[in-house]
Amino acid sequence: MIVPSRPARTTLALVLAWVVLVAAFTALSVRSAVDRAAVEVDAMGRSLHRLVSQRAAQHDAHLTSLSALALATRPPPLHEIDQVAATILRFYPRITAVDLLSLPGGAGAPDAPAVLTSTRSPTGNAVDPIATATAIAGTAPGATTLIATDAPVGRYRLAKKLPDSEGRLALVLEIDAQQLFDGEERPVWAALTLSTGDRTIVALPATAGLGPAAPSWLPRPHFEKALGSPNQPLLLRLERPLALADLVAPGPFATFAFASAAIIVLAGLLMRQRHMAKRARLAAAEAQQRARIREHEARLAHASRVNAMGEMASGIAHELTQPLTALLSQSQAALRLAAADAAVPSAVAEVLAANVRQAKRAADILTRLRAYVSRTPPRPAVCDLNALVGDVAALARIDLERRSIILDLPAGAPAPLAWVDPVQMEQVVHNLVRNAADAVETRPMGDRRVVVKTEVRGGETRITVADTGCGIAEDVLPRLFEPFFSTKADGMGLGLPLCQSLVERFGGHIVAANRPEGGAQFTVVLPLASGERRAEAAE
Amino acid sequence: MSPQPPVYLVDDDEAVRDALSLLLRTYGIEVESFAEPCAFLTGLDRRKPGCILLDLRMPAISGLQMQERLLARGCNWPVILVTGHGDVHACRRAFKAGAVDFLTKPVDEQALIEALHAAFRALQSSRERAEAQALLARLTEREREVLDMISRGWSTKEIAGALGISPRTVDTHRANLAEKLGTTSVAEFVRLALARDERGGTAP
Repeated sequence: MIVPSRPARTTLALVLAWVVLVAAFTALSVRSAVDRAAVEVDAMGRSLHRLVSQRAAQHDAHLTSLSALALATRPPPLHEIDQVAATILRFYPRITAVDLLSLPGGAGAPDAPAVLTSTRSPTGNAVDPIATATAIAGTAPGATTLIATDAPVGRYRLAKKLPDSEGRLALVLEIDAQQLFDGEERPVWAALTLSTGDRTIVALPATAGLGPAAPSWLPRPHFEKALGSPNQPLLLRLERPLALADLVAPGPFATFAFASAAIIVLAGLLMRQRHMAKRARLAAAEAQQRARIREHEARLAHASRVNAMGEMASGIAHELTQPLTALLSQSQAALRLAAADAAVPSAVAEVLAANVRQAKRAADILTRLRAYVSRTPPRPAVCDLNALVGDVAALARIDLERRSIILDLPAGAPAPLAWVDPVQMEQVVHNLVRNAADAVETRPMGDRRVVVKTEVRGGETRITVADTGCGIAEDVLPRLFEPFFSTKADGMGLGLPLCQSLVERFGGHIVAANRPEGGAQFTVVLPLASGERRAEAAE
Repeated sequence: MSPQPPVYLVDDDEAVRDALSLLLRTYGIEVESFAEPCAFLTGLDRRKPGCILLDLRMPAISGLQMQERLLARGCNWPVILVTGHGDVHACRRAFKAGAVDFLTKPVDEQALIEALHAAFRALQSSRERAEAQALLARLTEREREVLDMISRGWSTKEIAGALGISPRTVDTHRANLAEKLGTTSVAEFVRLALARDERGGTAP
């Protein structure tokens, strides 16, 4: 699996955020456009419905007045009817034909339905008396029936069976449905349909506002209501076909998309910059830390060299001093014995006296040697040994990790304060940790452990450095702090004596022991810094 | 005068032990030497009071630590520390712990003998002090007051006046003092009274 890099992931997230923003904007915009269109369609639909309903009601009124006229005389006054019909056609152009039919079944009526009189406008059509009679065959006298089936396209007929008892008559109006909608009142953006049952009489498409069409699954705002006239079961439907441009205005959309993209890009840049700044800050801190450690190392190394040199001179001096002491004392004793015994020749006494002189001269040389390499005087201060151990651990850690050695610093005493020179005491701890690391290096991985711990016990502070190595051989243990004694092939034998003399300078001592569970343990014991010392340090 | 007290020499170097023992014996000083402090400390209670000549730097227990152990066991015999290097800090600490002297190796005969004599004197006076303490411990409160006044050079009359008792009673106290302290000498009285003061003037 390919894991994208961090910048790629960030970019992806930003692009996604932009897409989500734009989608949300689009959804909102569509929603409000649809709502707006619905309100518009509803308002327009209501007013149109009222108008068309009124017009439809007029048809009922015409039928009623014509029927009254037709029933005034017997036979019906065809001429008057034609005159009235002609007037109606003239004033109501949507009514294209008025026919009076005779229906079969009545007394003295013909067997087949027939047209008694017919008035037609130029666009009017002749009515089919048989089809009409069939359509209204079952209706009660006086009832009006809407006939759409045999009407020409875009028209319907209204047939009213006259409420007479003998000769059966029916009045039929042919209506151009399209003219129910006056051109000016008709909204150009709406699709209109007028239907009865499942038959569409008029379908007028929208004539304006068309561009690319909106997806078909979007809700289409529409208005649908039956006309007010109960004799004309006509359903008026007004539909607002939505164009993409209606849903999402291109201008604001483009502006929003651009603005949000700009903001997202800006945010991305800002994040990137902050990320870089953070990285730079971390890098700077790390470099500073490294520099601090290097400086610390250098200081420790210098102190180590200076002290090692002093320790070497001191070691040489100590080693030579012992035989020299014996030599001087023996010679002085012999001189006294010779003086007491008259039998000893005076030459022997002179030789012994010369020995004494030379031994003293050698002692002077040693004193001068020690003075020459006199150590830098310690600069003691009140030190928190926990902090000191922490510093040494920070220095040693890199090296120890490289050698797969675990350095453990269990929580020690809360405030182990001692009156020591911090650099020199660091050197002691550093030496002990290094020795411990050397001791565990031959152990299998995972078993290489060095534990450094501090304690406060009865007026003393302790630093314990324990390891999981092989421990110290019994015959080596008493000679451990002897100068120039070493079990390491390349060891000078100065490390531990140096540690001891450094610790002794501050009134402490070092104890070496084998741990019962295996491995060696070195304990640096120092007097706890007294109150006056702390006060001194505080000044 | 009691016989010369012994010197206990503690040093891990055999050649040094032999040489110093030999040198001291030519002065008629009794020497007992030990390779390590523990050997000396083990039989401490059986030993005659003496002067301890101690090497500062030894394996296992350093001279300073041994000095501390001696103090911890209530042994206030004089200690002379001998060191290979003149470590100022160790020197100061040793003196604080009651060392009478601090010598540098190789030890010069003259310095060693002088230091030992000073140590012997210290041992002697501490022993006398201990004896004086023992004697003074037998006195009654009133006898101690009388001894105090005698050592200030007051006459019997003055003492009687100060204490509101008769001169005869003072004389009785003086007689008791002479008997308990084993001397009639006023000088000896003063010495004993001072010995008590040297212990910080605390009444037993």
